[in-house]
Formats: sequence, structure tokens, C-alpha cells
Amino acid sequence: MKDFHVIGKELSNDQAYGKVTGRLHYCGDMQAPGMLYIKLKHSTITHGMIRSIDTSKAEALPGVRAVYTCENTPDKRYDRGRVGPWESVPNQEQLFSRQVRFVGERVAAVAAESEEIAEEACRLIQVEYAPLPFVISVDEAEQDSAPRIHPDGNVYPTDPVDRGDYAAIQGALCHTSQSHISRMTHLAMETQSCRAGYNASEGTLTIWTGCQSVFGVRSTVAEFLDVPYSKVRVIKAPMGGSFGVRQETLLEPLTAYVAKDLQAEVRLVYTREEQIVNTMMKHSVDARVESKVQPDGTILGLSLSCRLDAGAYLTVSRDYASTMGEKINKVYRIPNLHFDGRAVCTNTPINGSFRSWGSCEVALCLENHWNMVARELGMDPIEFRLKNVHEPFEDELVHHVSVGNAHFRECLLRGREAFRWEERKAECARQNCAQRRYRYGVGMAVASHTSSFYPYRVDVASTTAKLQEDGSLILHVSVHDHGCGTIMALKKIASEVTQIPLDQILLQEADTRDCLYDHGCYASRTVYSLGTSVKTCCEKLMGILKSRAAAALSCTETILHYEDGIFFQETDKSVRISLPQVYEHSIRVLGQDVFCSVTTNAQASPGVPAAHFTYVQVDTYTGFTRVLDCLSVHDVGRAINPDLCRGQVGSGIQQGMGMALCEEIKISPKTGEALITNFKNYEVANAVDMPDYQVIFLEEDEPSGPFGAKSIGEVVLVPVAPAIVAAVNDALGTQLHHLPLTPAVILEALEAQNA
Amino acid sequence: MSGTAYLQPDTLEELQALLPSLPEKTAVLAGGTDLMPKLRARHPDYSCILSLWKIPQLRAVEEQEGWLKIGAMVTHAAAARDPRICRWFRGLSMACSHVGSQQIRNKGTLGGSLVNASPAGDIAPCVVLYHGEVELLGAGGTRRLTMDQFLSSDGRIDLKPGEILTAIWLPIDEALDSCFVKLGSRREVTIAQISLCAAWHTEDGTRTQIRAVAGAIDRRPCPFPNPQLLADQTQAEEAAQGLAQKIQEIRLQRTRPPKLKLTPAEQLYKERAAKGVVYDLLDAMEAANH
Amino acid sequence: MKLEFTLNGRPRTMEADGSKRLLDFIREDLHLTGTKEGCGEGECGACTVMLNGDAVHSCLTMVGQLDGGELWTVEGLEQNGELDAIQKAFIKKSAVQCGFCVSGMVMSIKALLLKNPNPTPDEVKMAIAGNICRCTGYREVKAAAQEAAQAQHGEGGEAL
Repeated sequence: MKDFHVIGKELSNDQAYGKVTGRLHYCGDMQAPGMLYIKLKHSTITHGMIRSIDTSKAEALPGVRAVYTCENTPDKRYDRGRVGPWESVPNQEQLFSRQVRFVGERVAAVAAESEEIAEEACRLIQVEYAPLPFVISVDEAEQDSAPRIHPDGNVYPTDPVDRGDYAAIQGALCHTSQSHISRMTHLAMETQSCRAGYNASEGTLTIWTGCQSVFGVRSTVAEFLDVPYSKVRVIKAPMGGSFGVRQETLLEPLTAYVAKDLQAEVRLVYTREEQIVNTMMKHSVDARVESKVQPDGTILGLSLSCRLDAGAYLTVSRDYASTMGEKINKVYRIPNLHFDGRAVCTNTPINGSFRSWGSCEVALCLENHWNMVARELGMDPIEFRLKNVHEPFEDELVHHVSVGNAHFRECLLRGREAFRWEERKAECARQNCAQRRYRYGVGMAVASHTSSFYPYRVDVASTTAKLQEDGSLILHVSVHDHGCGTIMALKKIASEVTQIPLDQILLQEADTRDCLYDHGCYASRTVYSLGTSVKTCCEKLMGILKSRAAAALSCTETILHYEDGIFFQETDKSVRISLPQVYEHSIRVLGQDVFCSVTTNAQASPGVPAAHFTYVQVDTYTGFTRVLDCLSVHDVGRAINPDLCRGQVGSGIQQGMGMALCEEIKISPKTGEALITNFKNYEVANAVDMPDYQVIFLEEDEPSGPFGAKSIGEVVLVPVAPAIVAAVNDALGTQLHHLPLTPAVILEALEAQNA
Repeated sequence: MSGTAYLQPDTLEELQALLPSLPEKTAVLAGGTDLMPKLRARHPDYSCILSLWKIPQLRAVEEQEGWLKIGAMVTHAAAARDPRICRWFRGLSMACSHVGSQQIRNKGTLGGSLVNASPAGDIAPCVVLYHGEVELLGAGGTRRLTMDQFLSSDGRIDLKPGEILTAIWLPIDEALDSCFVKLGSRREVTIAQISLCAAWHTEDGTRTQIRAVAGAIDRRPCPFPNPQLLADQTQAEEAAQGLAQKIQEIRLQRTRPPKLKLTPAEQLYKERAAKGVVYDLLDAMEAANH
Repeated sequence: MKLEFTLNGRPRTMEADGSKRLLDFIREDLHLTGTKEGCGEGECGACTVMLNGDAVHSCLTMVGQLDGGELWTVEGLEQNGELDAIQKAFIKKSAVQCGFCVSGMVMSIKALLLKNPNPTPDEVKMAIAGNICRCTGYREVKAAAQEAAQAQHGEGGEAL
């Protein structure tokens, strides 16, 4: 391993001091003179037209500044999923729609001097509805006779993917399986919040938001308000976790509209109920998997069909389904592929972006399937995978793009050994022999994810570096830290290149005023793409500095060396110049400032192999599954912040456990409303429930990544749930693929088994 | 809540003096752990909050003539570590030490739990088990009710407007041992789906005079069917079947299933899982004897 | 009502609405926004403060309950420019990610260590079971609690 200055060192999150002292301000903590507070009123019906809204009592309440409804706001459409103006998006949403399409949809907003007054005013608004026929279940929504939620119907198919010729495969065993994944909420600890302020003298609007794409927000808001992009400034505020929920533009158009309309500072902070109902949930997915496999376990073909419940507005759901198709060949070598998908609108809360965008859904469907196939072939699931996983630098089939320096095989082998797989398998068999109350099982799954947008879209990332008079450094790069320490990762990369100490580097989060364009921080691209951009920019800056140093020292660049902020001649170390001196020479003698900008464009998206192994105990009396131990092996290329990478693995395990075992937002079959709208009935693993876990990082440098780094933030979730499902099925001898495997589901299955 | 009067007497006497003139829409604040979410969710306009927070008498635990008097404002955390509760009413202390989170236990009170009367509350089954009584203070003085009198069969409580639950009285029986178990949906910080508590005497190494109560299966705590089957592990199956049957009867009397139980598997869950809780109870009883 | 209390070690007297949520009072009237609201119903622990030495949910507390009491919020832990041992340990052990649960976590651990300077790993887990974190698997948080306990021993059991 190379000897780095700061890369790979255990350093905390850049904002840790502000967070442990409570000094860091999230949007909901921000105050400004004369600030107004927005509260929302929500639909109480499933589907219908607003016949009338009486806001007179609300408007009369002292302290209320304005009430907004479909009667007095533009009926212009926008799209929460849009990032750039060139994108074609469904554009179904409005600030307030006269046609309400689910219980909980916002129908009015009040801006008042306090949240309490705004809330009270919302209660005073009276809405009269003319109900329309509605449809809750996806099965019914697909029928021709179903009520149409939007003029273009309820079903939105994706383009199918066909590679090779799946139908023509001969001489293989055909297996089919069905999986169901339920709706979840991200449960980011901070609820959504947004602040906007209008400066009437400048005619400018400033928006603070804990988002993942300041340029996406700006594009949506500027076009909605019909103001020049240059007059809208979006600043990325600290966010209390994302897991996908900050990816779309949700609160900003309304908050900005109110700020501009009232020429004031305004703030909107969601309640937890709004956070669950009015952001987006993780899609519920029904999938059918069919495969053709040789008796020796070689996979010849795969066919995946999936259907996503989009909820009441399509938003990103068709893209989400397409992405599943894009991701079906990231792990295994499969010569013949078929994928088809569709998103279906229903009169239920909206589903959308969730951590890993399709990777965890694909992994659940496929890994459940491969575990079933391996069992039917009498093969060990790891052996089955060793036969089929991609080798490093092999091309995947969907886009014919290399998986990069991806070590699937190594992940499996390291995990098998560290987890004592064979021993544990035998132990489970022995424990289960006794037919006692508790049964034990082991399970595993393997997965991958992206490191950039490539090749789905051109992945540009830009950095500007400006040396300061004292030799300190300011960097502008459009980074959106989700809380997992990406600012620190990028600063480390800059410090590694420039050898400028971390505490002398200022690298703030995305701000449309200061940063060059960027699509946003998702697809786990931050460290790989933005990191490459920062590294390239810093290298360019060092080149400029070196030439200026050579000019100052009247020597050639080739004889100059650089260490700890000093350029010097190897042959005569007394001939030296520090960064502040170089800067002074540049300004005062050469008349040139020291800065540079670069735009890099990722030409790869190396895979990030991950294998998860888990050991569970199932209580056959109560149906409870306890994860007793687990291990995640991740090929990360290079961990820039190893501690924070490990922390994220824990988060992925917690969320994956929830997906597999307990987390589900239930929807009323009668009204389509979310039946769970609080923490109380949505139980996630707490510190007592969370099992011990081990983490192994394989650090085989990715040649295209900054200092070898790839990605970590999303893949940590991907293999967890399927491994747990496999372990439960191993313990019980079942084939349960309808998640979550709650105690009720387990007891039902055992009942059926005994019958 | 602006415009709401906030009354916080410092003594029991001050409290009593306030009772005759309380506004009709008065909410009584004990720990606040149940009241506060209710106030927020339903926005009823209470014109007055009467806080019991500062009255020292309501925080006291005292022995009086063969009874242990537990002040209504004793928190779950305080009850869990009180040596007399641990000694004579171990089941109650077990229940208290697993109510909610540490933050909830630090603030939530035993009296508050009884008055809140949630079917899933962990305290009421214990008070029923010990044949405890509640003391109510009204404008006209105090009255003492058995749990049978206090809790009606539909889960409502006999607490008149302007009346405050001030204490729980539990009869002390030096020879009685007891324990408490619950099945939730997590290991900690979880609401009971089924809770069981049992009390017994031990004669010649055998459990006798066993009584047991089940919580969270009906609107109010239910007697455990055939508690004598809990004498040892040998009749566990039969004991479990009895409980399952009881839960089934309650389910069949319901006109519609609870809101969150959408599938048959969910509707049948409690009766199927009863076995696990009964075995847990027997394990806990066994452990208590050692 | 007239409210007398100590805030982070300093006596305060002020006029306040007794029925207001303590959380709102802390954030809006005391202007201390380190205490966060994650759920508003005592399930997530983000609003945890220390009242009379106990970790409690400020979202489930009325301002009147503070009268005559002693309140500590996360802002009070840093003394004379030096972070509390728990805050230092959170930074050192990388227990801080998005940070939204952190002030509540820190206050839960503060209350634990005051009562029990030498907690077992199980006691730590129980103390923070009501504090939900979605960014870590709690491992770093638990390690930080143990680290802080040890550090406090080193300082001879520093008092708050």
C-alpha cells in the first residue's frame, strides 16, 4: 500500500464539530428577520376535484400573511425529478392541483408569522370536494376499465432490454420465482426543510435546501417562476440524512414561490407525517424472474419482469424501472438477457427515489432467485456464484461497459473464510436437527452498484481552485454531503495533491453562485467523479504553481521539487520558495492570479462488488427473526475515509434488515392512504436490536478512480436484505420472497408447512 | 397551546383546593409521555393544563399497614429501581424496566399509564395481578377502587371530571413471587402485543396459588386461563393453547380487525404467537425461583 | 407563568407559557437549535435533553415542568472552549454522520455517565435504545460512549 499523507487516515466528518456542539444550522434551525412560516393543508379524499375552498377564516386570523390554493397560484406544471432544462420529464405536478389524487396531497398552504398560527389557519380552511372514482391496487390500475389518474392512462412501460436471445436457449433448466418488495420510508432523521428569501432591491431569490442537486432545484424553480437562472441562487444546506429522499425537488418550488410573492424570508419544515406521506416512499415492486441454467450451475440466460407502483404521480418511477433494467448485468456473466418493466399510477402517495435506485430491488429479485436455483441444483450458493460472477475488467452486457477493477470472486472467497461459512452451515444443520423452538440459518448475497453516471449520461464534474495570499486554498466543487463525510473526502484528495494542510483548505458545499454546473450528488458518484475533478484541478494548480515558482527562482521547472508547501531545487535546497511567496510573485511581478478550473468527464463507472453474509435465529413460536451475526465485504477500491465507510456499512445493514424483516408502509386497501405515518408504528433497528457486524474492505486500486477510490454510500444496502431472506429460508426450509418477513408472515409460513 | 392556563400546584393540599373550580376542558399532565402526542395529534382545545409534576407526595413510595402505596407520579425508572417494589412486586419492576425507552421511563409515570388506559399498557396488568387498588382524589375527598371497579370491561376508566388518580395501593405478601414478560415487535422500546404477568407462592419447591394476567389482548387486562397449568414446564403446551383460544375468542367478538392488521396472517398473529410468550413466562418463572 | 430554572448551569428567570412544548421553548425562546425535532412523539430521541439529571424528550415535556429544575442542552456541554469528553469521543470515533441524532445521543450518554460512570456495553445500548440513528449501525456511537467513559475516568470523574 502506498504511503499517503491523509488518504485512508481516520479523520472525522468535516462538520463534526458543528454537529456535536449543536452549532451547525440545518434549514429548520435558520432564522431571519421577519421570517414567515409555511404550513400545509392536505387532502382528505382519495381522488376528486376541488369544488371550492373557503380560506376567509384563515385569512382573517391575526398573523396570517397569505393563503395559497389552486385558486390563486399558477397552474403551470413542473417535475420534481428534473436536473437540467434539457431533460424530458413527465411534468405532472403543480403547486396545487384542482384534481387531488391521493389522501394527504397538499391542497393549500398558509404563510404566517409563526408555525402555530399557520397551523391554526390551515385548520380553518374549508375544502369541498367532488369525489371521482379511484384505484388503489396496481392490479386494478392496469385494467383498461380502471379510472384514469392522468390523461395518458395509468401504465408507463419502459423500453425493454434484450441482449443475446433468451428465448432461443436450449438444453438448460428453467427456474422461475416471484418476489415482492414493500413500500418503505427512508426515515432520514431530519424531516424535509427549505428556506427561501427574496431580495426585492436586487430582484434575486436565494434558496437554502438540504438537497442533492442545487442545479436541479435552480432549474426547476427558475423556470417555474420564469426568472433568469442567474437571479436564483441555491445553497446546499446541511441535511439530516438522505437515503434518496433529498434527491427530488419537493419543497423548493412552493417555498420559493411564497418568498417571491411576499418578498420575504420564508421557511417550510415538514412534520414526520408529511415526511412519510408527502415526500416519496420506496416503490413496492412485483417481479418475476426466470432463468436458464446448466445443470453444472452455469447461467445461460435471465429474464426479469417488474412492475412498480408509482403512486399518484409518475415522477421518476418509469426511470426507476428502466434503471433496474440497466443494472441487471452488473454482477454475473450472463450471455442472454431480457428485461421489461413498467410503472403504474395508483391513487396512493407517491413513490420515488430510494438509496441505490434499482440496485437493491434487482439484487432482491435476482439473489432470491439464485439462492433458490442453487438449492434446487444442490449447490452451495457461494459455489454457484463463483461459477458465474464477472472477472475484473470484464464487460457487462447491457451497455458493453467494463466493470472495472472489480473483484467479485475475492469478495466471495474472503467472506466465506472470514464468516466461517462452511462451519456455520454445518452448525445450523446440527442445531436444527433437534427440532426445538429456535431454528438457525445462514444466507449470503452478492451485489454491485455504480460509481458514476456513465454511460447513462455524460458525467461532468467541475472544480475551481484559488490559491490565497497566505498559501491557503479555496475550492469550489458542487458537492452535496449527505452527512457521510464527502466534503472531508474531497478535502483529503486536495490535500494529498497539494500537500496543503486540511485546515487551510476551504471546500464548502454546493452553491449555484460559486460552483460550475453539476448534475448532483447521487448514483454514488461523489468521491469517484467529483474526487477525480478535484484531483485533476489540484494537479493543474500545482502545475501552474510550479511554473510560477520556476519563474520566481529563475530556473527550469524540471529541477524543482515540492514538499509541504515549498518548491526547492534538489541540488541546492537553499534555493526555495513557499506558496505565499509564489503567490506574491505571481500577483506583484507577473500580474497573474493563481487559480484554475477543470471539468472532468468520467468515462467509466467501475462496479463495487459487495458480498453480505448473515447468520440468523428464527423463533418458530413467535415468528421473530434475529440477526445474530453478519459480515459485509466491500471492494471499495480505496477507502478515503475508512471509519466513515464502516459507519455507512452499518447503516446499510440496518436499512437492509428493515427491508427484509420489518419495515413497511402499509396502504389502506379502502382509501389508499398511508396507514403508518409515524415512528411509533414504523419500527427500525435500535441500538439493542442491531447485531454485531464485521466489515472487510478490499482495497485494490481502481485505476480510473482518485487514488484508486470507487464508491460506498449506496452499495452497503444492496446485498443485505437478500442475504437475510436467504438465511431465513435456509433456517425454515421455505421459499419466502414476499417482503418483509414479519413475524406474522413467518408464522403463516410455518402453519402452511405443518398443514 | 397559547392561551391555555397552566396550573402546577406544589402540594397535595394546593391540588385539592384547585379541584372544585377546574375548567371543564382541563387536561391532567402527569409525565406527559402519552398526553403530549395526543394533544398534538388531535388538537383539542383544552383551556387548562393541570400539572401534577411538582407535588412531592405523589412521588413517594411508602409502606402502610400491609400495603405498599405508590404515588401516581412515581416514574417507571424510579419504580424499576425501588427496593420495595423489586422485593415484593418483582413483576411490576420487570414491567417498568422495559417500558419504552430510557427517556420514557424517566418521565412516564405509573399513574399516568393507568389513566391513559391503553390496552397495550404494561402497568395495569400488574396492578390487576397483585389485586391492587387505586386512590382517587376529588373535590369531595378520596375514594379507593379495586381495579375491577376502576376499569370497565370496554377499557374505560371510572375517573370523574375533576378527579385525580393519586396513588396505587398494592397488598404486600412476603411469600408472593412474580414476574412479567412481553412480546413486542422489537426487543426494546416496543409496545406489547401480548404481555403476561404471573404471581405465585412456592411450597416445597412447587409453585402454588398461581395467578396470571394477560395484557394487550383485549381492551383491558384479562385473567390468564387455567393459571394452574403454569406450575411447571410440563403443561406448557396446554397453557399456551388456553391463551391462544382466549385470544381467538376475543378476535371473533370483534366487529372488525384493528386498522393495521390487513392480512389474515396479521389478524391471526397473536393467537399463533401466544405459545412463545407462555414459554417465555415459564422461563421467567423458573429463573425467578432460582 | 414566571419560570425559574437553571439553563446549562446558569440561573434564569423568565416569563413563559407553561403549556408550550419544552422543545419549542428551547429552540424558539432560548434560541438553542442544537436540540432537534425528528418525530414529535418521543420515538426518535433527537430532542433528548437532560432535565434534573435525567434524559428526557423535550417534545414530551411542557415548559411548566421545567420550573425550579435544571436543564442541560447540548450547547451547555462545551465548557471554556473545551468540548465534553462525549463530544470529543464522538468526533474521534467517527460517530458523527448527518448529525441530526447526535445532540440527542450525546445527551442520553451524558445522563447515563453521570449516573453510571462505568457502563457495560449492554447498559450503553439500553441508554441509547430510544435514540434512532439511520446513518450508522450504532457501533461508532457505542464505541464513543465507552471511550468517553474511559476518558472521564482519566480525569478523575469530572463533574458536570
